[in-house]
Amino acid sequence: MKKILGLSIAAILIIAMVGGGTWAYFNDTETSTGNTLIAGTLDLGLSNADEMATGNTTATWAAEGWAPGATENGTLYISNSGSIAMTTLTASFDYSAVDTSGRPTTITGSPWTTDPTDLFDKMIRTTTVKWQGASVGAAENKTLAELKALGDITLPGGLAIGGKGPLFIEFAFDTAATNGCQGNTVDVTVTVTGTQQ
Amino acid sequence: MKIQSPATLKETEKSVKKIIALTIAFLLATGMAATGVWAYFTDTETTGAVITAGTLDLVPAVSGSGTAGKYTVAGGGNQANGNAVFTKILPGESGSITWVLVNNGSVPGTLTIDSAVTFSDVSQNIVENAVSGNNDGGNGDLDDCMSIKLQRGTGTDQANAEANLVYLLGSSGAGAALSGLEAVLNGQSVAMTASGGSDTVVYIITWSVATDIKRAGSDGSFGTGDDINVNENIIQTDSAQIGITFTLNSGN
Repeated sequence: MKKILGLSIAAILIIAMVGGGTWAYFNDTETSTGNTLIAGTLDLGLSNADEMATGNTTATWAAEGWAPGATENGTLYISNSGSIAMTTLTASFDYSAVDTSGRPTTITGSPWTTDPTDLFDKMIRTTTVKWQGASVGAAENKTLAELKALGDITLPGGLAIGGKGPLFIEFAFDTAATNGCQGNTVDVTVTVTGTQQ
Repeated sequence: MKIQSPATLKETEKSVKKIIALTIAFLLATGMAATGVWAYFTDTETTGAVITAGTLDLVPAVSGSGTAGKYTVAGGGNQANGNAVFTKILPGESGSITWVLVNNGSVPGTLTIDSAVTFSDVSQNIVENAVSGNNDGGNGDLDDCMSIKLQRGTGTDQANAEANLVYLLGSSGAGAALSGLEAVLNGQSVAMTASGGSDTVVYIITWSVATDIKRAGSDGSFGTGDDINVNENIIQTDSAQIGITFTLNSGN
């Protein structure tokens, strides 16, 4: 009798141990999914056409065979393809050293032959600068040298999400330019920067 | 001693049996007759065994804070998913998600968490692509560039629990990389009393992106001297998702 009782207890214990993995306790499960953190995008684009764009463009202003008194104008379209408004929009100007290799050999004695970055950049100046139709006074009637020295020039109003606007600039070749400017070339780079604040 | 004959003995045995039988009959008769009139002191009470299973009822609620107009919150509830979504996050911004978990049941339990924190950077733009080291590891850069602080408090209600907050990740002064959040959440095991006691647990995640974005160093923490300077554009288009399953179990 005692033996049977002992075996029964052992069997119960074994069953309990084996069954331990399948016992179900009270439990309640709740979820919180879809918690999302998404960084914004601030993507400024430049184009020579009236379109939304991303990245850079070239040759917005391309004047060849310029003579003193000539003008050249063009429109740079600036767009915001990002998800964040550009509260601040600026443009800055820079240019390469003046390339005098195209100057006729007959032109000698010019003061600019010894300092090619000088004067030619002072003979090119803006006449009109308009951002979204409004004059940007700080950038008007400035030579390339003066524009470069200004650094970042604010384009008022910034640019909204999905926004796009024209930056119109007209350059003129100063009538004071002399023969020393013949054949000279300068590459001008306009850098537009949009920032969130 | 008087010696009786067998016949006499037999007669005597009969007499004794008769006396016993009559006595029993008398006792039975008197007992039955007396039943109707005898009064004992009596008192009767009843008892019952009402067996009711306990209840275990975890109720979550989600709330959040962030830059106005750039986040949404679904509060959730019992068996209703709640979450917070933050969009268009910029350098210099911060926000928080708060989970309030209450055991409305009648038995205590142990709260555990199963979480998954995932990262994505599937639509990189030109600006982001131009940044050296962009998309390190192939899953974007929020994992290393977003700062996280995780706090937990237990109490009798939300206010009491929030008064008992302790940092599980990061500290009051500095945060940790978002990449470390999942492991800490998954290591949680918190006792919750039955309703009416310390039945409330609060978790708060506070996130932030520095104005001058840095990548957390090898220690996974910010402000410890090994942060790595990166261009702010590195996090553009990056995103992170936090999925959490809370389980309150009576058996653990």
